Amino acid sequence: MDINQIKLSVKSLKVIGVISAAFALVLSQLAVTPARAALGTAPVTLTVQYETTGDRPEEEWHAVVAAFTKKYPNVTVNFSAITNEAKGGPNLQVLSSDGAPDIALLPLNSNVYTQMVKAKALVPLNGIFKADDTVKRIGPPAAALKQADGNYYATPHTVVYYNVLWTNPTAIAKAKATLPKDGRFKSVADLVTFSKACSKAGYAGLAIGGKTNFQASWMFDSMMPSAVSDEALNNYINSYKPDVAVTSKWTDKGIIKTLDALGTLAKSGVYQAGYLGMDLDQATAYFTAGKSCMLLGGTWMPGGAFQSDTEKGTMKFTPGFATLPSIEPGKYSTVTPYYGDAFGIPTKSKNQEWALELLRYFISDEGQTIGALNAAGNLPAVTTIPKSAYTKVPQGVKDVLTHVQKYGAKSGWTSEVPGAYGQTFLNPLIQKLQEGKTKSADIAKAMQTNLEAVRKNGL
Amino acid sequence: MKLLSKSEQSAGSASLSRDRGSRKEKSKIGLDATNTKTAVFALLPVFLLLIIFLGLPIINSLQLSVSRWGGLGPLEPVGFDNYTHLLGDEQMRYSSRITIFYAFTVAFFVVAIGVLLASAVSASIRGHKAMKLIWFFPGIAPPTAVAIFWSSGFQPETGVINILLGKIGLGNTHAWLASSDTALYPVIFVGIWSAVGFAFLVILGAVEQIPISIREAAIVDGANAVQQFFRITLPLIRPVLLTIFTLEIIWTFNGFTVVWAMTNGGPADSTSILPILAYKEAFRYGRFGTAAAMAVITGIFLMIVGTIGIRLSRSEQQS
Repeated sequence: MDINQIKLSVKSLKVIGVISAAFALVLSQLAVTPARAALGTAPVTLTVQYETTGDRPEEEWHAVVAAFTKKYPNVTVNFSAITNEAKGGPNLQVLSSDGAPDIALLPLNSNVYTQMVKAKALVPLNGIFKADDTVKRIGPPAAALKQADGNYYATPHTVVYYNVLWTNPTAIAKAKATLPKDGRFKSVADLVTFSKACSKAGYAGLAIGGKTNFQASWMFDSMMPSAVSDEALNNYINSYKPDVAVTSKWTDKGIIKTLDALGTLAKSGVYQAGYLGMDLDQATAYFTAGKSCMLLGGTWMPGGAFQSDTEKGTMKFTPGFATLPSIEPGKYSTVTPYYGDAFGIPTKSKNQEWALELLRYFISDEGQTIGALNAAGNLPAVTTIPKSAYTKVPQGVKDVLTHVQKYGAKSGWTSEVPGAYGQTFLNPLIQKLQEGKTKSADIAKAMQTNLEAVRKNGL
Repeated sequence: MKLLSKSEQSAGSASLSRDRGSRKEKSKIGLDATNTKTAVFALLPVFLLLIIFLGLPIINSLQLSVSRWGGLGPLEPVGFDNYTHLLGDEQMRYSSRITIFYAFTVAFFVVAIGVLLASAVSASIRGHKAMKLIWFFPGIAPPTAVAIFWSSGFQPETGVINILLGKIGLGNTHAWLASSDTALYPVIFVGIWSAVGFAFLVILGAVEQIPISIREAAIVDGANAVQQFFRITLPLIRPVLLTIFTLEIIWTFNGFTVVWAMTNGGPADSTSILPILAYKEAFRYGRFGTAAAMAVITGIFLMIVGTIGIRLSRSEQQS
């Protein structure tokens, strides 16, 4: 082979390289922006709803939108912030009006989502779920998103774990209280003993936001699966649907035992004084100020309240965590996953095609990395992003994730069923139980009656 | 019918304003066709506004109250099911009882404290000018801010009330908002605290309108301050008190913000007054029909209260 042949080969390689690169670029553009041609380049303004508090949704959306509008400069996105209270109720009127946002916040266990699905007021997202293998990427929780008509109407964006008992190692050490080695309380009696040691040292055992409309029933979500079989749990979650046979009654032994345990925890002084008059924010401040050994919370806290209170200097410890006690020996309560604050597109949206494109990007691996992981420090809803990319996720949350991978996390009843049947109904009853003004058996009976009414009359 | 000329009409109008009681005078007043048209034309916008902003919502609420509706889609007529359900509902009965108790207690204390303050200020006690301002401030504070402030104020150990009680040896761990037996009382306290300023100013206006000659005559007759208060001030401002009392009942009855922000209607629904119950029915349970039926029942009750209040106030004025 002479030198000219080599030169020719190098030249040819360069030409081939350039052509390949150009071809690859064209291909990648086609792959990334299949909608560009169809959607056009005319200026468009989208409106996106997010909640004012919680797992840093503002940061998440702003980052995703910045990346999206870089790809599509003709798109402008306006934001519409709504409160925790509005998202589950009054937002229904907004979403069904002509002023509906293009992308709506839809808590899956709220009346808003129930009614929107029932009235077919949401755009099916089947295209998104099919196109990017989203069902597989989300994993088993995606099954719960599929509605009876076979459509997907909402996509989650993060998974948070609640029923995490955040611990204050300083207080626990001072109280000489003993946490289980694996962080899992084996019985209600163990938690009561632990809390009594804390109380003796001047700390509340467990701080909870008893006034908030969900914390009382949260614990039920975690502890009930340790009292019933997996089949029974599955039936409790699905039996409100008339086409699912009721195989487990609310008056069964496991439910009564769980409710008894909740009553015992309240009676034994495990919680802080006045807990039924405190909301979750007040309980969190109580914990971060170092007044309790533990706080009932979730994985949005390390990157939220804990971080800001540490920066302010009011939180002077690094929290660890534990899980709630189990009901039956040999079984364990777990932290509870929540995919519920999902997003969808109201049929009243005036820019449905672009909204679909933005939502598709939002739930793509790239969007999840930019938004959920890097901007908000949350755990993404998809499982396809390597753990090495979880650099912005706080260590406390990573620890909970490791715990979940080791011990599992069972579905929470109030997160899975519509609020009008689940959380809204159960919460005041548990508050009554905590006050000693009702009995477990009466609550169980009321829940069974409620189940029968919902099956008969619908929601 | 004899039509009046324009000059006669204006004379008639003047006569009417001088003597409203005379039916005979009234019968002389008539409108020619042009004036009738003008009057109808002038009144039309008012009627339209009434129909749009009052009539239609009332009709809509009535229709909703006899329907089943989750917030979207068509209404499903259910007759009077929502009403019969409410009549037999234990929570509805409980909420009605506490709402009436809450509204009447707040109204009573607002009027009572308002009268005392107005009398004190009217008597020019020391600091009366500052008192006018100080007592009015709670009335202009946003209800949500008031509720959040007091919600923290009633917390055990850290709340201002508990701190004060602790300082005087009465303990600092009272958790009134955390018990369904006591949660309503802090709410009533805050209701009074935030409403008393407005009542005080209105009552003060009424007290200061009492002619000085009446007081002077009473003093000449040897009446002391207490006698003047009970024999002169109270009887003369009674129509105003009745009006304020009625208005306070209605406002407190319909109040939502303070109770919601302080307790969320809890614990265990113990402070779920009717507006909160209606809110929960509509937005938490998606039962807008039942919520509308509650609104209708509440509306009828408040109309009765309002009518009685106005009648009593009028008869007091006439007497």
